[in-house]
Amino acid sequence: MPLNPEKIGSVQAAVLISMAIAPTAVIVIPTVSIGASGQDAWLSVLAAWPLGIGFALLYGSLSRMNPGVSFFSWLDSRLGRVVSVTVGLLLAQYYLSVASVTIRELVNFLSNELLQKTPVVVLSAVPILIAVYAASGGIEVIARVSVLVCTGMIVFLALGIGLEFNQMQPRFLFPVGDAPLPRLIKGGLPSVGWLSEASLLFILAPYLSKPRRSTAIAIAGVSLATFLLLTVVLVVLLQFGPELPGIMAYPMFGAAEIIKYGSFVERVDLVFICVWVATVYVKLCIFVFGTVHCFTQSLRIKAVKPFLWTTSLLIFLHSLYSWSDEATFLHYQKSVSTAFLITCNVIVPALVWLGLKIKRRPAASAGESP
Amino acid sequence: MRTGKRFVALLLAIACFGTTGCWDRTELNELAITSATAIDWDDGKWIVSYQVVIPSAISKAMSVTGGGASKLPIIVYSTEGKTIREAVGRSTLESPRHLFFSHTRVVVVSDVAARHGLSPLLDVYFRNPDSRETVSVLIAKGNARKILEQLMQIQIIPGDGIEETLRKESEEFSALPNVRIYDLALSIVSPSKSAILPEILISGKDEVSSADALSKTSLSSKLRLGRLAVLSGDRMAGWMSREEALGVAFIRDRIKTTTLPFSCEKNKPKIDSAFRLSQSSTRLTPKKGGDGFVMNIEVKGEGQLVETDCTKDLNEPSVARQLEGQLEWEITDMIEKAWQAARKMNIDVVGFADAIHRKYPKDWKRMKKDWPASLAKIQIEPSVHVTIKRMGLTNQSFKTLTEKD
Repeated sequence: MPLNPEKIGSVQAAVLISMAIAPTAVIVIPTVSIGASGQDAWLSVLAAWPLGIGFALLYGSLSRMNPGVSFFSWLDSRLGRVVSVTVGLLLAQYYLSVASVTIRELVNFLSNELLQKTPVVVLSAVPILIAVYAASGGIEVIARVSVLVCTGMIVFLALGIGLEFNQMQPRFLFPVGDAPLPRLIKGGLPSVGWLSEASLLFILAPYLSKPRRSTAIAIAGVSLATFLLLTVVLVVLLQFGPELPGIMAYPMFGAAEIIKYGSFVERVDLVFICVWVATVYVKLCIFVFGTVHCFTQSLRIKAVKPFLWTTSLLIFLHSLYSWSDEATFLHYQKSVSTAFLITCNVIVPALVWLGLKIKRRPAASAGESP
Repeated sequence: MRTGKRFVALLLAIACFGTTGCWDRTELNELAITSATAIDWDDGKWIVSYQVVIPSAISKAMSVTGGGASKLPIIVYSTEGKTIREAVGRSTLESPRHLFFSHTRVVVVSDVAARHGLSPLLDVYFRNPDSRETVSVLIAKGNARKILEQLMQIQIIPGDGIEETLRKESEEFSALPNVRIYDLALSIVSPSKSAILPEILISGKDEVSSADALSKTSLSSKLRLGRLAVLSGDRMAGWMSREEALGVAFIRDRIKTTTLPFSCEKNKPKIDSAFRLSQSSTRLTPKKGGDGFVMNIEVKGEGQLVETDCTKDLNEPSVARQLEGQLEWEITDMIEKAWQAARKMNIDVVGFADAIHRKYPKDWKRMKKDWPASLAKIQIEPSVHVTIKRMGLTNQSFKTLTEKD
């Protein structure tokens, strides 16, 4: 499959990476991290950041080796066809799985908070249709939209902090360092898993206008996502303390729900929900694009559109039928998700890196397409 | 190609029908908007009462307060069940409209229900998206439904009126806190595992629940805020007087503004002056000492003299210092009385556990296993510093003039 000629800037790429991480992480991390490490949850998230930077360095060093060609074409030329197809299908499965988790996360939220009677099929179908439309436009379209949405997210996050300021109690953060190390690690692991989603850089690399900046882009994306995560965890902690968030499904929106100034500013949580839904749509678009990219590039498929529709249908069905109920889905998020993310995003690239070290072969020439 | 694009456009247009939320549409004329809810517990069942607003009657209600008998702006009805939500579900048996809780301002819980435990109520509020955690919680001695039936003169919707009264009291008198659902949950799960709630009561004899009873300049009874209910965990354990409640508010640093009556001379029983405390801050510092902990309670406040019958020259700095000393004594006395009441109940309503947890986390891990026993050993050391910033628009009291010559 030939790569589209469009290029994305370094800022756009960094924002894409952060938008691949933050939208679902801000929903799950406060509950899981605060539930595990209490008032030290922010330390857990902060401790995940250096590991995220480590991932960024790994992804950056691998991406810099294949400027202008897809990760899989380059892998083919260096480690052979079998490795390239295996890694490609593995990553396609990873992107497909994360895309369906993203839809399910969105649908669960909408069903719980707003649209209880609307059938799940409808709630799942609408975002996937939009994602198909965006992904068919290419990564450059998604990148432009993601910058807009990310800016909106930061603006509304700042607005939310301003409105919630009178509810915040700094005493909830003390004593610092109260949680023992195992609980701190338990609280930080989900963040590590999510930050590993910066592996999106492999997909973005051939589209970068300045491929030499790959590492910097990954570091910036991971740092922005950590900053967003840390802010949300702190906002939740400062308002609900170390005990309540652990039992709340959506503490971030719970924090917005209690905004009340007299009887004229209240129930503003819907505004924040709208912004968050937009960010989830962006994440979904990225992962639908990623699924199709991995699949078509590793198998050298030229006709992309039929696969865009079929993989999207697969994502739709996966999100509908993989988890019979919400409890199963939550169990997956808490217990399986991190291991799955680490396997696909850290172990697989690390093995590739190791393979390259063992078997040194000349790189494919720049701009080559299969 | 053009046909293909048209097809996609048509497909997207059709998809739009699915995005309008048709399944979750809500018609206003199918809703029963509740402004207040009451929770009672009787014979092993929850009795949930609803103060439902009648929108068409609200504008007409203005004429009620003007004297004409008209349709009342609210209706109150109750349902019962083994769980709170079962009781709410049973409302469909007697109401043609779906109960809509998003505009509920207050939830009044009877003391019996509160003694049974408030965990189910908190769970309902945190679990269901139609109930908001910003609802204010109050306790009523006896039947909580009676509170919902009582009409108010100035506020057309009593639920709104109760919340406004509570908010104003919390801001301008500060003895009773405006506790919202999430505040209550935060207090219950805090290290002190206790909470406080304001009491609401009907003062007077005959209930004002009809348009006729409302069309008088003086009502036979009215809604009033009373004492402070104390909860240990999620269960109510006792009451505190309003003075003790003010002492608790000083210790917990919840004073926004308040008016303190005091005597301008030491050992003089007659209260002859009043001070408007406009700023107050409290710092709790636990220290290890003796058998347990000593809690240093440092209160700093400032404000204005708003009334006095004292014949002293208020221009004299020494007189100002003396008045400040009297005020400091009054506040110290309030704090000590509040602490004695808390210690008598052996409930940490003053939040000492939070202070010890923050400063001595290792000791706290040992103490929390038997916190009530540790609480009983705590000694307090209040130190109050009050500054009278302004004496008001007169330098001396009128009594000085009337007693002249």
